[in-house]
This record gives sequence, structure tokens and C-alpha cells, in this order.
Amino acid sequence: MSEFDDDDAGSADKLVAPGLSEKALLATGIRIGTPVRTKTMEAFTARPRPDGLHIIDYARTIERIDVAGKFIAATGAKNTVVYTSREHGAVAVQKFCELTGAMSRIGRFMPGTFTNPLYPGHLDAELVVVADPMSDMQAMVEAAKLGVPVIAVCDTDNVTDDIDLVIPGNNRGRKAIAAIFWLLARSTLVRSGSLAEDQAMKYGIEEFETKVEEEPKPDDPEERISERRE
Amino acid sequence: MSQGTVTLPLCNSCNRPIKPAERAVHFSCPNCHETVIWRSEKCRKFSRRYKCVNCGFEGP
Ligand SMILES: [Zn+2]
Ligand SMILES: [Zn+2]
Repeated sequence: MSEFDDDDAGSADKLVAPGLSEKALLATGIRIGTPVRTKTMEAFTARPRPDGLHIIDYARTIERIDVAGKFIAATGAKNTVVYTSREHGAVAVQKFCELTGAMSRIGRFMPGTFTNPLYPGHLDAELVVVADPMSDMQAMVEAAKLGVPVIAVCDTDNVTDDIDLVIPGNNRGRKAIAAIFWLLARSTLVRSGSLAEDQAMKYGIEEFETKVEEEPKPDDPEERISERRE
Repeated sequence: MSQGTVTLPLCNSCNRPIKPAERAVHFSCPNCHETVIWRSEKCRKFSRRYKCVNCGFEGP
């Protein structure tokens, strides 16, 4: 993840959540968008960086994560399906669902998952959350057929058609997607009354991260083991 | 209201009545949960703005 190359890297003293400083949150790349910005994402972006990447107004990310947390809490996490087709968000979605009790689907979206009650993997969704509307479109198509509302993490280049609640954020980076789902888990738990505002969650942001073998951390023995397995 | 008529919900964005066959969506306001927001198939498709009459929240 590229460092944000100006003096606006966030404060180390300002806490966004217990144990998470603004600086640490911004270091995940949560607000780093893409060179493209769609019309509907304009409202969530602050300014382009000198290298042309659009920067997401992360205050709006936080604000929307909180609204999404209320939405999930009011619907009931157990009635909510969280889907990601892509590997880099898999752990974030799994951990989110473990902590909140939401249902998870990862990888290929089997046709009929929402629409066919006879399909063995059928899920009864009252609310759907997707990590990327572009790659997770199949789940959105089935949600639309049933009139099920959709929350989506949207990057600056995402089209927001058929989405009922946008969470603006970098949905391409492993660390960023981990941060978004970690904050969303917190908000969902706090809003449903099962976590106090100042209480820490069972997992830290790092534990929401999908580790990839191409980027082994030298100090992480597990990574080194998986590297040797290659 | 005379017998046999139904009141169709109105789309929050375009204010048109929503037909039963339409692939519309409705949900309680994500922010305050106090009002029901209906979005017509078209308005949802085109990402048109909706606004909660209770809390002023604007989506999507
Ligand atoms: Zn409409
Ligand atoms: Zn409202």
C-alpha cells in the first residue's frame, strides 16, 4: 500500500475507535481511490492526489459505516448476508460474520443462493452487504429480484446502480477492506447493544486481513511456513 | 376508499406510484429506522437520491 505522500497522514493521538488512531486507519489506505471517479461517487471524494488518484473523504466513510451498522443492527445481523467474491476480502467478511452473527458467502456466487429456496445453499436474506459492486454483481442481481436492500462498499470508480446504501472506501486493498469491515463490525455490535462504545472487540484490524503469500512478512513465522510450502 | 382499490406506495425519489410487479425495494430508513423508504426500479437503477422525511438522511 502506497503511503499518502503529503502532510495529511492523520493524527496518532486522535482515536477513531478504541485502539485505532486516525493515523493507523489512514495507513490502511482506506481513502485511496482510483484514477477514475464516477458521477455518484463525487459526493464522497475530497480531492485528487497529485498522482491523479481520487481521495475518498474518509469522514464520510466513517459516517456511512455507522449508518450501515445501524441498518444491520435494526434488520438483525442474523438476517443479513455479507458477500465477497474476491479472496482479498474473505477474512474480513468471515471475521465480520463471526463477530456479528451475520451469514457469509465467499467466492463464486451460486445462482439461486437467494432466489431458489430449493437450492441446498439457499440463504434467506433481508439485507445484503457486498464488498465490491463490480465483482459481486451476481448477489446484487438476485437481491434486486427479491427486493432485498443492498449495502455496498464503493470505490471511486464504482457505479452505484441498484445500491441502497453506499459505504465509500478503498475496496481493492486488503488492509483497507479489513479496516472497513472491522469498523462495520464495531458499529453493528455497538448499535445492537452488544458492545460498549469504549469496549475492544475480540479481534484487531490485522486479524480481519487476508494474508497473501506474495507479500510475506519477514517477522511472521506462519507466512514463512506457507512460503516454504510453495 | 372504495372497495377494490389499493393504495400504491410512492417512490421516495420520483414520487410515482410503485406497481406491484415492479422490482422496487423498500426498507426502513438506514439512519433512523422511523420511516419506510420506497425506491422504484428505475430510480434504484439510476442511483437517484432518496431522502428520509424524518431525519433528513440522504442516500444511496
Ligand atoms: Zn422513482
Ligand atoms: Zn431517517
